[in-house]
Amino acid sequence: MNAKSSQQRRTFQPWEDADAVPFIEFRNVTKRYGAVTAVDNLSLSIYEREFFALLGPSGCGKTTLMRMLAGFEEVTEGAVYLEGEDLSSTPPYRRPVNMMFQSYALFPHMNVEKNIGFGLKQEGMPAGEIADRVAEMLSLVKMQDFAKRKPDQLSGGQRQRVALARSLAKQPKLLLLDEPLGALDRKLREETQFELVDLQEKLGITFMIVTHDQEEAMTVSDRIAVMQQGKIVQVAPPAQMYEQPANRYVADFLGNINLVAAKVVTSKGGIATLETAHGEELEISCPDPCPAGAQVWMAARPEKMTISLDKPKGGNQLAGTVWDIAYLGDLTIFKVKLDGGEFARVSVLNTSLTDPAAKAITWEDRVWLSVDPASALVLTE
Amino acid sequence: MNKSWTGFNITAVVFGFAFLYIPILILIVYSFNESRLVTVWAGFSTQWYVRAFENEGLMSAAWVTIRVGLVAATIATVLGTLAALALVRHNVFRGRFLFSGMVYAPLVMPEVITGLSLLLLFVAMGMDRGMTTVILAHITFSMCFVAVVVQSRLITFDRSLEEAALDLGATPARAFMQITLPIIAPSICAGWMLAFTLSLDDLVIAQFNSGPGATTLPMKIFSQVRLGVTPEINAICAILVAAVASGVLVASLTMKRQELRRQRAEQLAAQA
Repeated sequence: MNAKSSQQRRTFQPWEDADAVPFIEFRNVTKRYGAVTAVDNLSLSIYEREFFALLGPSGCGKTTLMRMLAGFEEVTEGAVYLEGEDLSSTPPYRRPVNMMFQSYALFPHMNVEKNIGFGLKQEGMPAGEIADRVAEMLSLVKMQDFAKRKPDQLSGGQRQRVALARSLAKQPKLLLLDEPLGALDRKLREETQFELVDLQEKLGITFMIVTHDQEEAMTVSDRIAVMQQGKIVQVAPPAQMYEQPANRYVADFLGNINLVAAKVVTSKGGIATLETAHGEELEISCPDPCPAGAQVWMAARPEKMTISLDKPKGGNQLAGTVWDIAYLGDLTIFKVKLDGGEFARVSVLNTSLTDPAAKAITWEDRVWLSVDPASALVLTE
Repeated sequence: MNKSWTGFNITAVVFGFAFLYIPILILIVYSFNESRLVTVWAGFSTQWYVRAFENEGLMSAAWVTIRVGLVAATIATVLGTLAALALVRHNVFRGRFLFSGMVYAPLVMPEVITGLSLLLLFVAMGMDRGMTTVILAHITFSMCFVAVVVQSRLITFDRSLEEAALDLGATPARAFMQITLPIIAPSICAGWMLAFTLSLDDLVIAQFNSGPGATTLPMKIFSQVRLGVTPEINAICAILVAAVASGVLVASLTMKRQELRRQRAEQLAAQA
């Protein structure tokens, strides 16, 4: 990736621009299967050249949403628009949208070349042009040497590449990726995530990925939508989603977070004074209106808290006992049982070869967890 | 799995196979008998094979049987495949339960009843009994076997293959012809073979629905046996056995080869 494209990427924020025209628009879309509501009155805009991730647990409706775009599911209420056109009456084989299936869905009776050329053949493209395009696609996914192989003669990673090449061969306006890396092992998955990002920048196609893997969503996407029970809970770029989650569900779904129930005592200038159930006082940033007396949660990520054996000066501490220690190589994670009864996790970066972080701290030690007012936030729901 | 052959095992296998194959073996041995008497051995000869091929009655019956089998099996395969598609693909249509029951009923229906009811239908419709009525009757009872065979394949068929074809711009008809059909073709072929075999050896239903000029081989053999078993019958039966056995052999060899090819493919994939 060269510096210029990463620069463009950083400033790519069409969702902040009020004049930007959405490329895809879900308008009040509902999908019911009998009595079950899979997608519930959902509205969403996605912009051209965006890499958009739908994230959520299984059964949250993310796959249904994607299949509506592909045309495999009909919309019960509302409508889906692509470049301002209602897609409702367009069958899947006439949509300028291609999909990469979770199972890859490679045609077992055709070799790699025929698989990739299948869509082009349906268009009626002349054989010579098909051969050129297939060769181009094969080199794009670095599979030139495998053109004549059948799908069952390929490894999982190779099949994934062929499936990707096949879905890109028709140069769709929108590429849908349904759990595209789910079948790969961890190392290969991480590599492929970065390759996907590069590919998307190179081709300039809008990508939409469905995944239940939060790391994958954060690695590849410009924006993430977190879904829960057929509704979108929050749409935001990965960093914003992580640092300013809308509620406890999002906070907990993306990474780990320590939640401590508390009541607002006073609130002034974006800083709220909280009192935990155990009677400890905390000062935490609270951009939302935080009326005194409201039931809220102090939310702090494990890496944003510090752990110490001695009570630090100043406030903003929670006292507890070390319950468990996990040494992960790069990090050491302390699981601490707070005096209030909750468990909190604190991660410490191991920056020295010989001196793992805070190695003096051991099981059942009395510790203090401190948090900076600006590094934690108050969640009201 | 590493059990050695015990005396009991060997005895069980020998008796089992003997029970199954001695009657057929006797039939084949006596088809090479010199003597006209079926049960008295008088030396080796192939004369009854020559006689069987010269017997116009037997040969025309064989020809009728083959024609009926080919036509009936082909039409039954088309209809059975369509029925299987309807049953597997459309989970919620009105009367699905009734329809699936009706497709399977002929499997357990006594042949006498199927034969008789079809006869009554043809009489009521004023159709002359002959080749057409035998073919129609055979289609009726063999299509449900095809439906069962094809249905079991379709249940495990990955629907996303068809969706991928649609997604890549193939119309539903093209997706079916280019993707679904080639993939389920082996089971359709198996269904066709089954229907053909069923048609080949059916006696009861043909007996009810056949007419002049449409005597099938089983009917012919049955009527001749009532006048006494001739070595010609033995010969023609031996040919039938040989035909069926070679069919089974070819099928199993093909499957074996496919299995080997699949294993090689997996090795190739593992190396890559």
